[in-house]
Amino acid sequence: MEEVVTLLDLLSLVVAYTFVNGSLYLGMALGFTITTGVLRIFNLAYGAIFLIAIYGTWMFWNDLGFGLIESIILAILLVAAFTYAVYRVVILKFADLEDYMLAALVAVFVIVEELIGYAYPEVVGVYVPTMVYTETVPFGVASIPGQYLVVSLVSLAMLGIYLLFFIKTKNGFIMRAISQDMVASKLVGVNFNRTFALAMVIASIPPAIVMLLISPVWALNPYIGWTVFTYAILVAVLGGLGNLKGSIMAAYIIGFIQASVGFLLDPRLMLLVALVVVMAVLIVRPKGLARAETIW
Amino acid sequence: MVKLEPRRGRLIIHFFGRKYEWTIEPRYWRNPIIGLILWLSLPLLLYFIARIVFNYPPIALMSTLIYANLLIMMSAPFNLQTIGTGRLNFGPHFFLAIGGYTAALLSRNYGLTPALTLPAAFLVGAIIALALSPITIISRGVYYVLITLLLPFILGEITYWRSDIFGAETGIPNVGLLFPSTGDVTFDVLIFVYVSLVISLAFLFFVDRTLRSRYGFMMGVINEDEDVARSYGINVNQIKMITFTFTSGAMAICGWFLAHYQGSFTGAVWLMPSFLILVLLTATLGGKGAIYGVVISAYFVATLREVTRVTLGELSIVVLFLILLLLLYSLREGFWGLYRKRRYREYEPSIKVRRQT
Amino acid sequence: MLKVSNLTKRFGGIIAVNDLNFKIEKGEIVGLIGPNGAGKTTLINLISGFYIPDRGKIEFNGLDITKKKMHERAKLGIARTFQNPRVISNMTAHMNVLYAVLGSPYGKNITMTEAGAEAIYYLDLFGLLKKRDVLASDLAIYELRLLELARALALRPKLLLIDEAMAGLNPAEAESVSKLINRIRNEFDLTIVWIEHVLKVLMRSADRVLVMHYGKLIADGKPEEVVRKPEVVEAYIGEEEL
Repeated sequence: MEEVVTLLDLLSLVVAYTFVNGSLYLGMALGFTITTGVLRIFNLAYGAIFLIAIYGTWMFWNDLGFGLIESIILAILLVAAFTYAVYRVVILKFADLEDYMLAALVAVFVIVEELIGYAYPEVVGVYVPTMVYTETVPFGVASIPGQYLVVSLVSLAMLGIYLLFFIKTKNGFIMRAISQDMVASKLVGVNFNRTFALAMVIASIPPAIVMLLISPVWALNPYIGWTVFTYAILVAVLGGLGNLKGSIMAAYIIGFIQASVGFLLDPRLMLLVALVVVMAVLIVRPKGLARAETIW
Repeated sequence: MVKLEPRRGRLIIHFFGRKYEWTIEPRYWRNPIIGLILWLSLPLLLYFIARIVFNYPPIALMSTLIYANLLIMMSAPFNLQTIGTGRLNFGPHFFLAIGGYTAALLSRNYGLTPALTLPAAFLVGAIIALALSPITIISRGVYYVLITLLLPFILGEITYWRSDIFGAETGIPNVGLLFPSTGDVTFDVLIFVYVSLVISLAFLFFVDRTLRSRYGFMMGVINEDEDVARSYGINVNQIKMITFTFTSGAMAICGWFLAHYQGSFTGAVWLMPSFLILVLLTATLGGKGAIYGVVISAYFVATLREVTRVTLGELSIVVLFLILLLLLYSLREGFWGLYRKRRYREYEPSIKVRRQT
Repeated sequence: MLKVSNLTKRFGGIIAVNDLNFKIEKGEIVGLIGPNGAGKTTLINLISGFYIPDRGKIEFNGLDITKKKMHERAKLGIARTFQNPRVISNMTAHMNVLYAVLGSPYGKNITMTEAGAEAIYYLDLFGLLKKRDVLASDLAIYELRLLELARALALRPKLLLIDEAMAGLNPAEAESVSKLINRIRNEFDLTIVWIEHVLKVLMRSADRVLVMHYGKLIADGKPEEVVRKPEVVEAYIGEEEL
C-alpha cells in the first residue's frame, strides 16, 4: 500500500511540473516560433531579449528611479526597439548571406550579454519584484510555488492572444499567408518589410513578459540568456520550426521529459536528456513533429 | 602498383590503378615562399626585438601568436568542411573539446605521452564525427546549424554531470606538456609558437592540396548543386561524410595542442559561444574558400583581441565583436578579396573552383 | 537496353506515373511526348534515379536498377539533361563539362589535365570552344542547351535522357540541336529517350514514339502511326480546348 502511494506521489509531481515547466517553455519559445514561422529566420539573437527585459527593468527601476510598472513598460519598449534594430541592421543587411547573418546574430547576442555582464555583474544582485502570488499551491503531494502557476497561466493566455491574432486579424492573416508562400504573397501586394518588422516586434513581447514573471523565483545572472534560449530552440525545433501547434506539443513533451528525469533519475540530467532527445528527433525527423515552417 | 611519372610542369602518380597529378609550377612559387619566410621569421623577430631591444619578456605577444595559429588550425579545416559538406557547422569547438579532453584524460590518467595522445585525439574526434556524419546528408540549412549548435551544449552538460571525470569548470589539470621545459619560460612559449605554426602550416597545406585536387573540385560542385553532382556520377554522400570526419578530426588536434600547451584542459572555456564566433568570423573574414586569407584574418583577429583586452579590460569582447561585425559589413569578400581585387594572379592550374561570395 | 515494368509513382493523391510498361532497344531514338502534366519528366526522373518508384521495376542492360542511387546509375551509363538548364552558374562552361568527365566510369583513371583536355573535346563537338572560359550564368539559352548536351555526353553514357532540348530556341537553333543529337547518336552509339514539345522536329528524328497522358502510356509505335491514333489526337486537342 505504501509503495502505491509513493508512485502516485511521484506521478503527481511529474504531472504538476510537466504542466508548469511545459507552459514556461512554451512562453519562452512563442516569440521564437513566430519569427521562424513568418520570417524563416533563425534569430540567434533571441536570447538577448530575456536579458534586456530583466536588466532593462532593473536599470529603469533601480538606477533611474522610475516606478515598477513604468520600468516594466519601458523595458518592454526597449526590447521592441532592440528587436527592430536587429531586424534592420543585421537581418536585412545580410538577407542574401545567411551564414554571415547567423554569425552576426550570435555576435550581437554575445555583445549584449557582455555589456550587461559588465554593467551588472552577478555581485550586484539584481532582483525584479514581480512576484504576484507568494503562496504555494498543493497538487497531490506536490507543492507548486504560486508564481510558477502565474507564469503558466500567463503563457497560456499569451498563446490564446496570439492564436486570436493570427486567426482573426488582418495582419495575422497576412503573416500566415507569408509563412505559407512568400512569392504568392508578394504578388498580391503584401508589404513585406512592414509585416516582417511587426512580426519581429510582437514576437519579442512574450519572452520579455515570461522572463519578468519568472525572475523572482530564479537565480538571475547575465549568462542565463543561453540556457533560456536553448529551451526556446528545443521547443521550436522539436515542434517543427515556426509551427504553433507543434510548439505546444513540444513544450509539454519537453516538460514531461524534464519532470520525469528530474524526479525519477537525476536532476543534473534534465537538460542533457532534453538536448539528446531533441537531437535524436531532429536526426530522424528533421522537420519536427508538426509540419514545419507554417505558423499553424 | 605505385609509379611516378614526371612530365613537364607536373608529376603523375600512379597509385594502385588510379592516377593522381601534382602540378609543379615554380613560377607561381615566389609569393608563397616569400609569405612563408615572413611568417616563419615573424615570431623569432618579435622575440628578439622584445628581449634584446626592449629587454621585456614577450610572453603575452607569443601567446597572441599561438592564439592566432589556433584560429588557423580551426578555420582552415572549417572552411574545407563548409565547402565539402555544403553546410555550415555551428559546433566546430565541440570537436576541439573532444580532442582536448581525450588528450588530457589519457595523459593524466594513463601517463601517455603527447606523441601517443595525438593519434588518440584525432581518432576519437574522427570516430565521433563519423558517427555524426549522416547529419550532413539528412539535415540541411538551419536544421543542420541547429544540430551542430546543440552539440557543444550537450558536451558541456555531460562535463557538468560527470564532473568527477571532466572536472566541470575547473577542468582537468596535470596534463603533461608537449616537451620538457628549457628553464626559460619565454623561450618555452616561443617553441610552442613554432609548434602551433608547424601544425597550422600542415593544415593549410593539406586543405590547399585537397581544394586543388579533383576532390576539391567535386566538393565545389557539391557545394553549388548536390543533385547535379549526383546526376553526374559524384558520390555526394561519401565525399560529405569523409570530409566531415577528417576535418573534425583535425579540429580535435587543436584540442590536443591546447591540452599539452596549457598543461590542463577546461572545456567550459572553449565551448563558449564567444569562441565559436571568433572561429566563424576568422573563417568568414578570410574569404570563403580562400586559404591564405585565413592566415591574415586569424592574425588580425588575434591581435585585435589582445589589444582590446589590454586596453579595455572587461569590455574587450564587446568592442572586439563590434569591430569584427563592422568588418563583416564592409569586407563582404573577406581580406583575401581585397588582395584579389587589387592584383589577381592565378596561382593554381586553370582547373580550379573560383568561388565568389 | 532499358526495360520498365509496372512503374508507378505517386505524389500524395496524384499518380504521376501509372503502371508503365515498355522496352527500349539499343541504338533507338525514342521520342516521349504528351500534354503538360502527363508525367514525362517524372519518368525521366525515375529512370535517372531522382525519384524512387513506389511500385515496379527498371532494368538497364539486364541489371535491376530500381533501387540504385543517382550517382550509381550515372556510372552505369545513364545521363540526362534538365528541362530548365541546370548547370553550375558560378563555374565556366569548361568546368561544367569537367566534372562530368571526372564523374564518368573512366574518371578515376585520368588526371585532371587529361580530364580538362577531354572536356575541351566535348565543348568543341558542340561548338562551344570559344565559350569555354565564360561563366555559365553568362551563356545564352541556346548555348546552355548545348552545354547540357556536352556535359551529358562527357559522362560517356550508354543511355541519354533528353528533357526538352529545344524549349526556348528559335527554329534554326532547334534544327541545329536536332541535327547534333542525331549525329551524336550515330557517332557515339547512343540510345536516346527524348522528351520534346517541338513535335515536327522530333518526329523526323525518332525511330519510335511513346505517348503519355495522365501518367499512362496511351501509344507506342512509329511516329507516323502514333500521330494518327484517335486517343493521341484527343489527348492533345482535348488539352487545347481547355
